[in-house]
Amino acid sequence: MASPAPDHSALLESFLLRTYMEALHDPAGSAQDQLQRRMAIEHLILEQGTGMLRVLQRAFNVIDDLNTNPQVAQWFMTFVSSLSEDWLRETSLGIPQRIWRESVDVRLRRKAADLIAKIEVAIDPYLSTAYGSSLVALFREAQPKPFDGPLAPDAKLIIDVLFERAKLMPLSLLNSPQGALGRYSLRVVRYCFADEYPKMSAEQIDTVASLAGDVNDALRGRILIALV
Amino acid sequence: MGVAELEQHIEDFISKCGKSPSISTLIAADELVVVKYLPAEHLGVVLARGQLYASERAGFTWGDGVYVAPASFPLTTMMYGEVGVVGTCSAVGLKFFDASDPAGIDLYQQWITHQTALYLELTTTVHASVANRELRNAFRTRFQIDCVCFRPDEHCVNYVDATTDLWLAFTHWDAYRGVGHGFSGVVRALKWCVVVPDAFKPDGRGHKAFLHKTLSATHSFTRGGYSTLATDILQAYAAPAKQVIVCDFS
Repeated sequence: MASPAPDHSALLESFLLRTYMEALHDPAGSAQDQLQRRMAIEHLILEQGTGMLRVLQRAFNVIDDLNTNPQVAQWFMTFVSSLSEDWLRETSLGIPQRIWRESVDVRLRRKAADLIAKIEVAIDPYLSTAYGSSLVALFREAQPKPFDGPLAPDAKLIIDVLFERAKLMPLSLLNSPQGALGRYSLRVVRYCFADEYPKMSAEQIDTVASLAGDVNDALRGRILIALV
Repeated sequence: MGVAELEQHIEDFISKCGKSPSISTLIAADELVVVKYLPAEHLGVVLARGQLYASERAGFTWGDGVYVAPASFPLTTMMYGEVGVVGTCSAVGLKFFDASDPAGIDLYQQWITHQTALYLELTTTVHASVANRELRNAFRTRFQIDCVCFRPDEHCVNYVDATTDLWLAFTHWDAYRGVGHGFSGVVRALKWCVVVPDAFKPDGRGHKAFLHKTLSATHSFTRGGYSTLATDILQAYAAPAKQVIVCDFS
C-alpha cells in the first residue's frame, strides 16, 4: 500500500517556524535585534490568541535534535512559562517532556520539569491528579526503587525542582489559590516516592523531607503534611 | 544566623521599605508615573500592545523585570534608547525592596549564601551572570517583591547621578506568582512622550553622551520642523551665534 503523500504545507510551515525560532538567538544579531524578533513574534501570537500556540508548537515536528539548536527550546519555554493558565492549558506537555528526555543542558531540563508542573496545574487546578503527573513517571524511570540507595541524578533533579517551587513560596501564599503550583509540587514529590497505598513510613517521610534541605519549621511542617 | 531567622529579618525590612524616605516620596500619590527609554525599533510593537517587555536574560541588575525610572528623574535612563514611553503603575499595596539601603543589600547577600547550588555556581563557575539572575529572581519570588528600588549602577556623565537617582525594577508575575518575563501590563496607559536629542555609546561600565554638555553648552537651540526645515537650517546657518535646530516631525 502506498504511504500517504506528505503534507507539504505543514512541513514548510514547521520548517519556517523553526528557522525563525532559531534566529531569535542568532549570535550574528545584536541583543536588540534578537529582542526585536522575540517581541514581534510574541506580539503576533498574543494578539491572535491561544490557537496560535497550537500552530507554533508544530515547529517541534521538524526538529530532529534539540541539542543542535537548544535556543528553540529555550525561547519556547521562556515564552510560555510566563503566560496565563489559559495559555498553559494549550501548551503540549509532550514538548517539555521531550526536552527533559533529550536535552543535555541541565538548566533547560530544570525549566522543562518546572513547565511540566505548571501545565499540569493549569489543566488540573484542583490538584487531584498529582499521582498521575508525568514527573512521577519520569522520576520512576530514573529511580525505579525510590528508597534504594542515593537518588539517581535525574531523579534528584526532579525533586530539586519540585521542592524549589515550594521553598520559594511564602507560606501564606502556599496556602492560597495562587500557591497551587507549590502545593502541587509537594504532592508530586510524595507520589514520586510512593503510590497512594501503602503509605510511606515515618522514617521514609523524614528521608524525603530532608531532601528539601534547609527550610524553616513552618515549611517543614507543610512538607510533612503533604508527604503523609 | 539560620535561614528562618534571616528570612524574618528580611520580611521585617521589606515591611518598612514603603516608608523609607526615598520610596515614600515616590509613592506619595497612588499612581507612580514612570518613564522607559527604549530603542526606536521597539516603539511600534510596544505602543501596539500597550505593554512594556520584562527582560528575560542575564545582565539586568535585579533579574527579570520591567526596568523604568520615576518620571521625576527624566534623564537618568535616557542613554538606553532613542524614545521615551511614559506610563503609570499603581503604588497601592505594592511590596517594595529598597536596594538603595545598605541594610537591604546586606540581607540579600546573606540570603543568597543559603541558596547552596546557585551560590556555588555564582562563586565558583563561569556562569556567574546566569546564577546572579536566578538568585535575584528567586529572592523576589520568595519575598513576593513587586518592585526593587535601587541606585543606578551604570554611569553617564550629565545624565546619571548615582547618589540621588533611583531606578525601578517592577516584577511581572507569572500565573503562579513567580517572577516572569515577556510583555507585561505592570506599567499601564503607555504614551510615547519623548524623543531623545542626544546620542550615546557604551563606555566602560556605563555610557558616554556625545552632545550634552560637551557640545551643547557652546550652542543655542531653536525649534524647527520637517516642513520648515530648509528655512530653519538657513536661518541657523546665518545666525551670528552657534545655533542648532531641534526639529519635530511636523
